Amino acid sequence: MTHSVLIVEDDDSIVEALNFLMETAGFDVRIAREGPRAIELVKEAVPDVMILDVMLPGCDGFEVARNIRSHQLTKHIPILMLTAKNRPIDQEKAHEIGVTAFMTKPFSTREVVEKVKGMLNS
Amino acid sequence: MAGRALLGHRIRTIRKDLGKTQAELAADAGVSAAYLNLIEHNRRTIGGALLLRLAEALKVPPADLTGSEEARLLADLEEIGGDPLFAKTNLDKQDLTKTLGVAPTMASAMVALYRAYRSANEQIDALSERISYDPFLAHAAHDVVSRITSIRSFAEILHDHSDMGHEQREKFTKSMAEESERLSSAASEMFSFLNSFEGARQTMLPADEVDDLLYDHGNYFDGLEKLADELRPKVETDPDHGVFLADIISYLKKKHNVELHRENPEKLDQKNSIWDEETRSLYISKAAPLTASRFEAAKMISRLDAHDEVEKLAASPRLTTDKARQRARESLHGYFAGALIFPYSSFLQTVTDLRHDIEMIQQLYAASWEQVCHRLTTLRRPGEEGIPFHFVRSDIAGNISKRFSASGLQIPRYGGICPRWAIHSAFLTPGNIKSQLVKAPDTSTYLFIARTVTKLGAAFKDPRSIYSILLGCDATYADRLVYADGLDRENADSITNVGLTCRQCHIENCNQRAHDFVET
Repeated sequence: MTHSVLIVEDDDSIVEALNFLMETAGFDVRIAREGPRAIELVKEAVPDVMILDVMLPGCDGFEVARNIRSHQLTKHIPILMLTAKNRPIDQEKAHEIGVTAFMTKPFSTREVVEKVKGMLNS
Repeated sequence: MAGRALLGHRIRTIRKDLGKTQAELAADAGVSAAYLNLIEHNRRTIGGALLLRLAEALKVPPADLTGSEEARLLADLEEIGGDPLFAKTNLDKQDLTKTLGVAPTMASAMVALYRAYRSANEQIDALSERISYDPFLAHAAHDVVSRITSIRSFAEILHDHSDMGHEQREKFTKSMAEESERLSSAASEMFSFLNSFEGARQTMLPADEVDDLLYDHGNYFDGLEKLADELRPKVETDPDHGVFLADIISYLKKKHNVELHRENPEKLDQKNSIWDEETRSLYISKAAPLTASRFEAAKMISRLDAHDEVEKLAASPRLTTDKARQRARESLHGYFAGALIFPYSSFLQTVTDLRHDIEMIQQLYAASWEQVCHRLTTLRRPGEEGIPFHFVRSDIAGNISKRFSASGLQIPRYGGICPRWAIHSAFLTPGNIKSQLVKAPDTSTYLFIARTVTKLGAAFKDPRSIYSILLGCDATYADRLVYADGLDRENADSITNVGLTCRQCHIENCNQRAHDFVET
């Protein structure tokens, strides 16, 4: 069975790398480059897992995650949050909202793939 | 008043310009030479007919002698004389009066020079604020991290997927080269930006150094918490009731042979307390309310029982002057007092259960609003954290005397906080709590809770100190605070867009803008 992943990231190069990694790992990939677009895509079809950047145009990753956690149909989606800001407050906020996992950029691609697979299995 | 003080100098200067002696002018004006001498040395005040006679004898309009322009200049000069810049030069009011009387143009030039100096300083402050929180730097740093992320990703992909097709490999290699170029230019831009600010930052003030020490520790001092936990059972008589002032008095007497006395505030230089080591007496102001008295007494325990721990912390290289170290000691003794009165774990449990209803917490711990707010900001024990709060204390003139932020909110260091912050409007309804949802320049939404506190003077005629205390947190935590009840986080209209200070704020058409945005 093919799993689906929604990558929410506004940086083209990082999207390119994540897209390759997820496709190679056998995922069906969709991409959103803005916060509001991510919420729309989740409503259209609930993904099995999400990779979510924090700093996004429109609304930030925290807003997206909060929105997803507040709806019955989407609250269960495992979310891997990525951020360039290595601030403890961001990790605390992510934890408060109920983000599944949190990684700081620059991340290891192997760890990203392992983490996403791990979130699906747990 | 100012005009009168200058009158003698003016009469003397004009008389000399006319080449008249004191005796001649005295004769013309119909007074004795001795009396004119007193007038010229500002030892007699004059007005009415004598003023008119003197003006006539000197052939000037009376207004030239009483001049309002000079009065304004003198007021300006007096303000200048009060600047710490001149603290070491013993510039007193008489010198200023003399300067204005003898050389008014020189006095004007001095005022102009001082204004230019103040303006340059304000500019430096604004710029150094911007270095700390500059949107360009934040963006540049984000850009650099993003570039490194993609380069690392491409490098790992190329290494881990050796079976990838030639075309794909070429594509990633090309992307990697492009990203490397972008990284180089982002790094260069960042360095150019930083170089342009070299030397802009002023020498730090003691209060700033103490602020930095608190930030380094996340406003949580484990050593002091542990000491407070160890000592509390020896101080309090009943753990169910907490630490009373009577408990502390009795502990200080028994353990340290310290006597506590209540003293008239004027004898304590309006301080809340003074410690006399020689007589082992702690004098607490009669003007201090019970909550403040207990706090001062608890600080005494810190001085005696937490001395070594406080000294260890005050030896931080962050603190570069004796003044800064002394200020840090006071702050840390205050921290200990808070830790003693509000036991970490049970306090955290209580505030969580009460959804941070500060008034109820005040009642439970017989504490002041400010003490409770301050303690809330220290609940940062790793693994047992409370909500990451920010805290600001401002007086009615906007001077910031306390600031701390664990919430991520940037707080101006030097004052001039955006007028839209509830910390200002709280002064309009003293004692009432004002809740506000704001969108800050970092695009995060925060919950602000502000109210004023009044520190009473000793008597009816004594001036009272009024402060506004702002406590807040990221709106993510809003549900855990009673103060967010009724605020609509989902409705953009109920969220106020705010800046930090006018000089750092991009918000256009703001009807409260006081200063232009400083372009860099």
